[in-house]
This record gives sequence, structure tokens and C-alpha cells, in this order.
Amino acid sequence: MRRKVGKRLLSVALTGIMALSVAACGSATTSETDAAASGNSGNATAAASKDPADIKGTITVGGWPSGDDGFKAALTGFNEKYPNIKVEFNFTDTTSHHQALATSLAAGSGAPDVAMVEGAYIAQYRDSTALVNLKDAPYNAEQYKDQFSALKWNQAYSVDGSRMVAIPWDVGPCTYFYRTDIFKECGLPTDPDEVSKLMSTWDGVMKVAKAVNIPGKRWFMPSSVYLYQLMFCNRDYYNKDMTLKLDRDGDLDCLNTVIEMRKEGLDMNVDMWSTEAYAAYKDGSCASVATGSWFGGFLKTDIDPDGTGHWAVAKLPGGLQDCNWGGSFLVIPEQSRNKEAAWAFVQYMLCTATAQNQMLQAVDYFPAYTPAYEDASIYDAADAYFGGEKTKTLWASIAKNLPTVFNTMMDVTAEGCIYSTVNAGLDSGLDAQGIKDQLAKDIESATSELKNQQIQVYKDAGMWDDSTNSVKE
Amino acid sequence: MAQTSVKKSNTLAHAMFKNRVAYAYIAPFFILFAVFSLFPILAGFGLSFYRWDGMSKMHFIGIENYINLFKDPLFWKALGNTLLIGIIAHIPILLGGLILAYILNSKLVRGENIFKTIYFMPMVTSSVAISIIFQQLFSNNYGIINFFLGFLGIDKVNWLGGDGSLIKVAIICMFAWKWIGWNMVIYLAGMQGISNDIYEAARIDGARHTQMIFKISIPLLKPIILFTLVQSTIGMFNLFTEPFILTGSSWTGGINNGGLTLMMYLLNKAPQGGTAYGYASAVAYVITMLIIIISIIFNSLAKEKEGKKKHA
Repeated sequence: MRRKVGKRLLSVALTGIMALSVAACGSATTSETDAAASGNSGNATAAASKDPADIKGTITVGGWPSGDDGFKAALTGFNEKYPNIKVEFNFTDTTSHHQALATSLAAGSGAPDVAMVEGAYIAQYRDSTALVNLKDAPYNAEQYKDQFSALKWNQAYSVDGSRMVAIPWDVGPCTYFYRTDIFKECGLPTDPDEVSKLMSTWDGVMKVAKAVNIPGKRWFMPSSVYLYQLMFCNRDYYNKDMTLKLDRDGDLDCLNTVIEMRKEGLDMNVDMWSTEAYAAYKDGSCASVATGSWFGGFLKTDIDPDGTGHWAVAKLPGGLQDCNWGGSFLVIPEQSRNKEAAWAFVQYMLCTATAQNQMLQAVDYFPAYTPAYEDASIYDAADAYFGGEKTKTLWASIAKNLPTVFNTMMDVTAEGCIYSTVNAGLDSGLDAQGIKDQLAKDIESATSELKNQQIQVYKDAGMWDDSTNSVKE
Repeated sequence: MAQTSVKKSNTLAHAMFKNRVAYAYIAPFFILFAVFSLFPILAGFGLSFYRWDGMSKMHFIGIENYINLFKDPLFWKALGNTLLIGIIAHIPILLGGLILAYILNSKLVRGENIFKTIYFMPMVTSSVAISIIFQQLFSNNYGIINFFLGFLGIDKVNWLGGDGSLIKVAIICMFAWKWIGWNMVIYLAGMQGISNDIYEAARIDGARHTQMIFKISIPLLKPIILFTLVQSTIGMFNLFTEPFILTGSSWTGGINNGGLTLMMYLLNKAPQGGTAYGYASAVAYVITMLIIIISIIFNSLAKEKEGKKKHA
């Protein structure tokens, strides 16, 4: 009898413990964050007058490669200034990172202390109250306003301008990367200025494309569609009344070149990010590609590390305007338990010329912080990988020339439509105007729900003018 | 007499109390189920009536999400693609599974376990890894399939690009390749469960081999076939990773939405391709209703046949 009672007691106790542990899991985190929040507010106000060595703690920084390589390059300097802040890196691929970030922000826990946010996603995050408003004390981020590229700085504000949740990191001035060895072989000029001059018209572009082409073996670009996509690189797809803005100067000429190039088989007809294209950049089956400056970092570390001396950089072909491709930001989630250390990290990494330039040297992320360009030893230096060309001077000149744009939540979806719609149009033999019309239709149908969402965000912020059906000025 | 009527009203509570230890044992599962399954199911359904981007205020909009979704041509395209891929892929999945299971069951081949493992592996291997390899197979300029077509003198086919219709072939190949093994293993287990006495009796009665297959094996496997049909139907509605990677991570299914499946359409809305959480929830529940309807149809078909048999 006693053994039976003992056994029963034990089994009930065990199941009770199991049930309790499940309940306890849920409550543990909330109590921790409560304690942290009350302790944190005390920390934040005192930050301004604190000695850097007094800021302690461990912070997690989340993002995607090559961001971690960039940070690690500047980390020694950071550790010297803030000896008591330990940094842990939590890096994954871009999509997973953003998904985890969105989920953890909504859930209130699990986000890193500092998170990277890609330029494409910033419109989704800029109104988030789950991110710290860096305009407030003790951050006072607006002290840096005039020192950053206007295009990137403006993207970080909430729609009513009252909050600023991100600090811009880099810009991606778009340039034309080409293989000097292939150009030489085909009797084309290899000097960047001469290449720019030759390719400044679409006829010139076609001439070069035909010259480098060996049918079935060597192509001009991964996909001619990107020539058209570059017209929208700044991601200025919409007007302030949320109507689609697809007209660009010379867009029909550009599309006609795209059509002709595909018809004559001068492009590989593959995505520029596909495994096929990556192999082609390396083995010379692809003669060139036009994209952001950070591609230089990709070439050096990942795609063609042995390619020193046979790549060079010129301005965009076909008279395409200077534009920006991407460029990330750093944000600090409100749930961070060490906002002081997080801000120290962000401030050091992004708002000092030293750190920005160290990251530039490592991963070719071109600073959005313009005082960094004053370091002539870097920006006027010859880049051995690009055959001694002064690539950074070129990129800096483009970066200074970037206009401000109106971003929306629909930008990413609209951009995604370009590649598939234009390719479909090329395949079914549509003409330039036909492709443009189809693109407008496809974008509208793909973004209808997001547009409703975006308008709702403006309405919530009191920034939507119902009489004109557009954003209030 | 009075005692029994009092006992009746307390029966359920009384029974529960008597078995309280049993309830304590099954409690952990139900607590976890309630928190991680039941709550999200109900909350998700509620969410489908709101407009929410995950970060700002939630706005109640009634059935507007459902109306917008039925008005969206992309949804119908996705539905059509998914059904087309699923229905065509099911033919090799069912037949192939049955044939392979039959061969393994008939002891024509040795090393039954090795084959079972090999055929089952696609089910448990990372979809992403498989999709990347298949992307290589179907590549336009350097793909292995185009390479072999070259030997036969056929022009290289742009499987993943072109006008977007051929990508379904690639997706069907991958989908079928993945599920044949699963079906084979289950049918094999089912076949091995059929007692040999039935076959012996049939042989004595003079039944031919084909008659034995069609009149004995398959009818007895019917509940198992039904089970695998429902499983692969759910798999069909969840089809996302393979088309996504084959189309080069395009959220709209590549050229002309050729590779757009229902799950890709849903994930395009939220959380990965966008932030329309309420709308995505609505899509999820429409998919759920479709799965329920199809399962009911399968179940009633099976019961119907059994009913006919009994009357005959």
C-alpha cells in the first residue's frame, strides 16, 4: 500500500513539474525585460556624460554577410575606445534575418541589440515603434544630419518626420563592372573613361555587346533586363499620391536595346545572382555587369578572388543616370537591454570616418557618411584589384550626386515585377511600349494590398490628405 | 432511488475527478497544443479580418481581405498552377509508389531495406539543397538536362525562363521525385500487412496475377491510398521551397507567374515578401478550406465505393 501511494505521489509530482515548467517558460522572459527596462532608463540619461570605459555589457549585432566582415575590420578600434563592451555577431542570410527581425519586433523579444536593415526594407521599418527613436536624447542623431548622404538620411524618418529609427551605413553607387582582358581581346578600349565614352549611347552599347559575343560561349551581360531595371534603382516608383511613376527619360530607347540584345542572343538570359551567372563572372563567359559598388567586395572575396587586374569600373552605359542600389541601415530595437552600448556601437561604426573607411577597405561598403571621403589616402588611392584604377573617386563622385526619393512599402514588390514581366514580354515578342504597359499592370496587381497598407500608415500618422488623396506636404 | 439521480448529474465531473491522474498525464500535451497550435489557429483566423503590417495599429476591415483575395488574378493563377502541378504530379506519385512497393514486396529484388532508404531520402533531405541541385540540372546554358538533349540533337530548352510554362515541368519532376519514396514506403507496409492466406485462397480459386493485384491488393490498400492522397494533397498546397528556388527566389513565381504556387502567393503577402499579415492570414484560411473540401471529397469517394460493394 505504501509503495503504491509513493509511486502515485511521484507521478503526480512529475507531471505537475512538467506543466509548471511550460508555464514558467512564458513568464520568465517578461519579468526579465521588466527589470531591464527600469534599469535601462536610468542608464540612457546618464550616457551623455559617461566615460566610454564605463559603458559595459555584451551586445548582439544581427545582419547578413558581408556586414560581419565589415564590423570585424573596424572592431579593434571600437574595442580600444570602449574596452568594456563585448560584441557578439549573429549573422544569417538577408531574407531570414529580416524575417526574424520582424517577428522578434512584433513579439517583443529575441531581437539583437543592433540590427542591420536593408535599404529595400526600410519603408517597412521606419514607422515601427518597436525601434528606438534616435532623434531623442541621449542619441540626438540629428547632429549628424548634414554629414550623411541626403538620399539615405531621408529614408530613415517615419512618415510624419517625428521619429528617426535608423542610421544609414552605406550607399551603393551604380557603376559598370567589365572584364578588361576580354575587352582587350576584342579590340575594345580598356580605359574606364574611354569605355564610358564609347558606351554612352545605346548604339555604342550594342556595338560592344556584339564585339564580345561568342555565340554559346561568351555573353555581354547576365541579363539585359537589368539595363532597364537600373532606371528604377533609386526605388522611386511612386508619386506622393501613390500613383505608379514608371516614365523615365529615354526608357523606350533603353527597352528597345534590351529587346534587341535578347533577340540577338547577346545576354545569357539568366538572373545576375544565379549560380550560372556567378560561375560566368569568374570564368569569363560573362564580359560585364552593371550594379552597385558593393559588388566590388563580392568580386574580391567571393566571386573572383583571383581576378586581380582583369576587372575595371566605368560609369553606367547608355547614358543612364547616376543611381543608388541598396545601402543598409542600423537600427536599435526598443527591447534592447543595453541601448547605451548599442548606440556606442552604431555611433562608432557609422558616424566616424575611421570605422567607415576601415569597413570600406574590407568589404567595399561605400560610406553614406560623407566626411569619410576626405581621407585622400583611401579615396584617391589606386585599387590593385581593378588594375590600379581610382575606383573610390568614381564612386564618391556618384554618391555625392544622388537625389532624394520617396520610398514606399510597395517598392520591393514593384522591383520584383520588373525582372519577370520584362522577361515575359521579351519572350512573347512585345514591343517597348507593350512591355511598359504590361509592367504597370503587373505592378498594380501585385501591390494592391500593400498600397492599402501604406495609405493606412499615412492615415494613422495623420499625414494623409483625403481631399487630394495624397501625402500631406 | 434518490441516490442514483444525484449521482447522474455529477457523472462527468465525478469521472474526471476519479481519473485525475490520467488527466494530469495528458495535460502537458494539451497545454502545449493550446498555446502553440490552438491559439495561433484561432488568432490567425481573427487576424484575417484585420489589416496589419506587423508593426503599426491593427485595423478591422471585416471580410475585405477575402473579397480582395478572390478579386486578385494572381490568386487564381496561383490556385490554377498549384492544382495543375498537383494533379499531374500525383499520377507518377501514386502509380510509381504502387509499382515500386509491389516490386519490393514481391521479393524480386534483394536489399529491400537499402531501396526503401534510398527512395525515402528525398523526403528527409533539405528542400533548399535539392532545389539548388535541380536548378543546375534545368539551367539554360550549362544545365545537365540540356546537355543530354544536345546529344539527342535537340535544341537547349529554357526550362526555368522562356515564357514561364516549362518551369512547371521542373516543379512536377521535383515534387513527384520527393513524394514517390514516401508513398512507396507506406504502400509497402500496407502490402506486407495483407495476409498471404487471401492470396493463397485466390490462387486456389484460379485467379490470375493481374486479377489478384486489382481485385485484392488495391482494394485492401484503399484506406492507405486515401491516407497518402490526403498527405500529398497537403504537400501540394504547401509547395513553396522548390518553385521559389527554381525561379531564382522570385516571390511572384518567375516569368508570367509560371511557378507561382498558393503557398508562394501567401508568403509573398507576408511575412517574407511583404507585410500584409491580415491578408496572408486570409489566404491561409482559404487554403485550409480547400484542403478540408478535398479531403471530404476523397473520403466520400472511398465510402461510396465501399457502400456500392456492400449492396452488390
